[in-house]
Amino acid sequence: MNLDRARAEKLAAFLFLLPILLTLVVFLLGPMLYAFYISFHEFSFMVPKNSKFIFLDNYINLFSDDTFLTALKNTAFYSLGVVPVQMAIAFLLAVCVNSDIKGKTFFRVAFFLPTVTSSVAVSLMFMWMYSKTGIVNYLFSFFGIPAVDWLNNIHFALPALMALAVWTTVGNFMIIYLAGLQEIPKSVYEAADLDGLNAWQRLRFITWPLLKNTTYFVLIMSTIGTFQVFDTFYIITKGDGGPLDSTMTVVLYIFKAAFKHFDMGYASAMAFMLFLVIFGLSIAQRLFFGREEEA
Amino acid sequence: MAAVQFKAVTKTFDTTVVDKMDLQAREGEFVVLVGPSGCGKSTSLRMLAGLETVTDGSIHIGDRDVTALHPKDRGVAMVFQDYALYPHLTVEENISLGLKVRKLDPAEITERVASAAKVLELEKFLSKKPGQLSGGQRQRVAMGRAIVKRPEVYLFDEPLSNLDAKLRAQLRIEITRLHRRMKKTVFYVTHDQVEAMTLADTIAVMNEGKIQQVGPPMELYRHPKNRFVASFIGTPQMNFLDAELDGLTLKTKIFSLRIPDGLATEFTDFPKHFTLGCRPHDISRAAAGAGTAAMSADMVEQRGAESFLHCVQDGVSIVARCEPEDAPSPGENIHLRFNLARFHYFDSETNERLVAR
Ligand SMILES: Nc1ncnc2c1ncn2[C@@H]1O[C@H](COP(=O)(O)OP(=O)(O)OP(=O)(O)O)[C@@H](O)[C@H]1O
Ligand SMILES: [Mg+2]
Repeated sequence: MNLDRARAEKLAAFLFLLPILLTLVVFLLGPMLYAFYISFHEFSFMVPKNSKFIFLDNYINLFSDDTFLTALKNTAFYSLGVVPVQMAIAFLLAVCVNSDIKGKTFFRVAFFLPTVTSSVAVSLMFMWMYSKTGIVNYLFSFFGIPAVDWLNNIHFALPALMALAVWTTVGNFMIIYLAGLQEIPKSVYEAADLDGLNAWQRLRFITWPLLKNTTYFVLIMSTIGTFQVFDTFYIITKGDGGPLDSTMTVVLYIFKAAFKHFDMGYASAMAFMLFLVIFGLSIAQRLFFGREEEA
Repeated sequence: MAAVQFKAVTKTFDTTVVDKMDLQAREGEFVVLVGPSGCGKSTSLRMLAGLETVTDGSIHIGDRDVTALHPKDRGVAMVFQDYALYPHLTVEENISLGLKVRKLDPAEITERVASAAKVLELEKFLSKKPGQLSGGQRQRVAMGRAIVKRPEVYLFDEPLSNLDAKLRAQLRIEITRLHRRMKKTVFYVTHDQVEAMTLADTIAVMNEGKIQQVGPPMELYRHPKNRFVASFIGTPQMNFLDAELDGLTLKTKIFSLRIPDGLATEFTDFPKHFTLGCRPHDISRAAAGAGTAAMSADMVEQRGAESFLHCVQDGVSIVARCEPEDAPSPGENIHLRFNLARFHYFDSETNERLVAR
């Protein structure tokens, strides 16, 4: 009787989980394994049966593919630029909107809004702002800086997109930092007041160390996010990473290889390289934060 | 130098929570602010610490008006109810952070931390983090953090309320001992009147934002100025009865007593009806006779060394003290004798004390 009930409960639990399990297997795990499989093939879209097993050739070819190396370099540059700036701004904004300023709810909403705005809309807005006659050039003209066609200049296109990325995602990380800040009891700050810590010392000795776990989380999420960037680049460069591959990112190149050159095997190999890079970075960051924990 | 003075201090949030509070502490005095939850004790203490602004009035420490000073410039140290330790710092860092930011000489810091750790028996825990300590140990760390600052005034906000009864009793003694050593002014907030009685040189009873009475513990116990203080100080609570004077006979619903001639003058200005207060310790079991109250025992509260009888009669409830071996069984009919010499009298309307003794 009891045994039957335990079994019935297990079955019920399994049935409740089934829909999500199925979705995960069909749309996530399955494609991943399949992609892994075809990354060792010269894949044929038309007749998948005719795919040729070429073992590591796709992976080896990656290292002599200038476009891939450029994409990797651009992505790394993008990530290195965006992550620290984004984290610093998110942290400072969170500290600001967590303090007792007037209209903090308004600011919280205002800073968060870009995150929930469609990336297409954001991209179009920035294209307009960055255009030769756009508001960015207009503002710079006050300082006597000549107009630049930001998005069509090989030196400025990537930094321009980095600024866009910071603007759109900073609100998201601000919210995460804000949640972390609100975990810190008020009385700890009162004790700090009595201990004579000034605003800077409070930030340095209390807020920042207590937000270490939050910072780690934000760092990981931000790094992964920047390495996977696609939508804004796709829209703004019309899918080709121009000018002259200066805004070619890894995911954009994967997309191009898969759906423009129809080279599925090669694209899958790239996807796995990207996976390894992100995985490695996450491990490295964990080790770094873990070591600090000991100290 | 470090006497403390509240001068007509008022604090208003949405409503007034501290109302024209006047209170002073001599240098080295141990003042306990006591009162029911929400009466404004913490708010008063936080105004003294500088964590809360003062709506009206002024606060003085020594000969300085500190009303507008930053907390760190007031020469006070505070121990919080939830300890408020820095969770990411070790015990040693917790204690020394305040000194470090004041740029004290490192040798001096080490020495102060070591001596505080010794006094509070924290030496073994110096490299631990607060999360690894028990409640009592954390409380000691919080005290250590206050002591090393060598403040003029110590502030405690219900520092023992998160601890179990045994630890509380132990720390109460330690706090008394510390106070005797340091000879500094202490403001101590609690809602526990036992804590107040055992620790205080002076107790200030608060209710609804107003100071009710200030004085040494025994004075408050013996001569409560009004019914609120009478009921708040002393445990179990004082019994209150409606009473009236009929010539020289004091009449209540459950007993009548003749007032001895020697005491008669005290009652000359009494209103006809008033409230009589009598502590459980001033009521005892007796044989039936004139002046006793016939009551029915309802429940016996055993405290070990003594027992408290909860009795009822004609809708009147009385708590009386008795020896454990004298305790009746529930439902038994008994007689109680009230000690007239220890009665307190209050005006039924204003609740103020009637005889100023
Ligand atoms: N920041 C605040 N804003 C609005 N009202 C407050 C604030 N702080 C305290 N109060 C109110 O002031 C009153 C007194 O609060 P206080 O904390 O001083 O009470 P207390 O005597 O310390 O009570 P307890 O024994 O429960 O700690 C309460 O009614 C409380 O709701
Ligand atoms: Mg309180």
